Amino acid sequence: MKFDPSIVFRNWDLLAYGLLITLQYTVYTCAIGLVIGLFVALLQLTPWRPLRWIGRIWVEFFRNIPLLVLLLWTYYAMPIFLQIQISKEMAGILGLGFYASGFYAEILRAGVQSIDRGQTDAAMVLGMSYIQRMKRIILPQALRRMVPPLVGQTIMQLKNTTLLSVLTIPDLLYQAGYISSTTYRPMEVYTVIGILFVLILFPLSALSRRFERKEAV
Amino acid sequence: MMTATSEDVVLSVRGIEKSFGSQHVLRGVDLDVHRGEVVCLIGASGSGKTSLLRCMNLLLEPDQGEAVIEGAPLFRHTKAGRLKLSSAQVSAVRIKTGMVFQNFNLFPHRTALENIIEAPLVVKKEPRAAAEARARELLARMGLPDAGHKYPSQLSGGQQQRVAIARALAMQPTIMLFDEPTSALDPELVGEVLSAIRQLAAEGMTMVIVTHEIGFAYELADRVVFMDQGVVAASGPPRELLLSGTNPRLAAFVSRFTEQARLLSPLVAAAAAPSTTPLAKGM
Ligand SMILES: Nc1ncnc2c1ncn2[C@@H]1O[C@H](COP(=O)(O)OP(=O)(O)O)[C@@H](O)[C@H]1O
Ligand SMILES: [Mg+2]
Repeated sequence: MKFDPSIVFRNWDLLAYGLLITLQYTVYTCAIGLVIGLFVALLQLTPWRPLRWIGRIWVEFFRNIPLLVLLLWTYYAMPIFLQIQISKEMAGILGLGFYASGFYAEILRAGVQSIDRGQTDAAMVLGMSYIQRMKRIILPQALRRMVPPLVGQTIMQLKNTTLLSVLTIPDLLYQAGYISSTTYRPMEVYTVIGILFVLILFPLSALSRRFERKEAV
Repeated sequence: MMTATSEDVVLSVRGIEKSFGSQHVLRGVDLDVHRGEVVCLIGASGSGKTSLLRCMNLLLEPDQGEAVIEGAPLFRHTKAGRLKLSSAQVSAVRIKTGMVFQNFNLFPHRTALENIIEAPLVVKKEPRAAAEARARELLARMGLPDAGHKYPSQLSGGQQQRVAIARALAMQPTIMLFDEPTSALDPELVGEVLSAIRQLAAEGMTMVIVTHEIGFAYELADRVVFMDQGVVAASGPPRELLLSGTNPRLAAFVSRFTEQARLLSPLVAAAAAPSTTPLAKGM
């Protein structure tokens, strides 16, 4: 059989739509993940033990559950537990967003804790409150260190959206499956999709690498 | 000892106890610091000097005892009960102390000037122009008139420590606490920091200085406090305390320094001989 990628590009409209969905879900779920992740990281950084535990449990839960299980549970099991109706889109966004929050929380917590204890001491003797210390002294320093792992996690997040296809959300991979089954050309379809993902993500990781090098100086 | 009600006691700690796990680091320390007094805390490493200094402004919370700064209670946990203060209340008392750390702890993402004006702007809500003017004045006093726009990483250790002193002074503290301010410095940079501290003493600043510079303590201190295994083992005017030899552990501690000085004395004599200027006493 001859390798003919043009078959795939003849369905470019489906692919473009899939790509749009993939990017859209990446943005939504990263935003949710970051907001919840920041909150959970702050919980883990408080001096109050019960709050730290809650943060810890959240992180461990979402870091250790397989994403596929989480997505299926959110869509099929959670609505029964909570007696609610939930669309597959909402299930996808919540599942992926919560999943990301566990990883983002860890990155944010580790970044804050990597800042020398002396910085907190100095800010405390100068009379700065917890919020002032965080906002003006600790977070600005920590954020620089967090950029590379945050970019890395965001790349993972975009890749993870491919699992949304099990909920029949028409992301890039779902569209690929559809094109493949109508054209009977899985070889071309999946090759093109794979390359497409690499092409989208490569600039992001290159950027992060450059930033890392600059920070190392 | 009497309770610290006397008006010219700036800082007073009583019965300070602190353990880290099973390690009993402070075992009932009492100390009063009077206005304008320079107290040097000396002692072997691990004797609890840093812990005591950090208890004085509650960077470290004692297990028991009492700390009062200018009449305002900062900490009390005694048999009679426990004082509850909000973190804002603690802060309000704590900022009467300025603290200088062994590792400077400047904010690396801020220039020297920004380091100094940070707390006046954010904590005291001073107008920027006034804060900057005072910061420049402080930098000049520390011998760093041109360092304002530099980042800590662009400054030598001695310069960083002087910026750190300026930063502490910018909050107009009534007492300055120094934790081995020259221990992290290369030998050739020690002098500039010591002379900045000397200048503060001359201006009448109340200070507690943890130091291994015995000669400096001898020269500058109104009182030397020798800590040993978590207690104040001896305390008094430097001349009497450092030369008396009544406390054998203190005598042993001091003898290590005098032994070193004795070994160096031929060098000092050789260097001093051609000059007619009398050298400072007792180095
Ligand atoms: N945060 C801490 N956790 C556990 N042990 C500590 C801590 N800080 C100090 N120590 C211990 O307490 C003892 C006294 O320390 P420190 O007050 O730093 O003494 P010094 O400043 O005289 O060298 C040391 O044995 C040290 O290991
Ligand atoms: Mg120490």
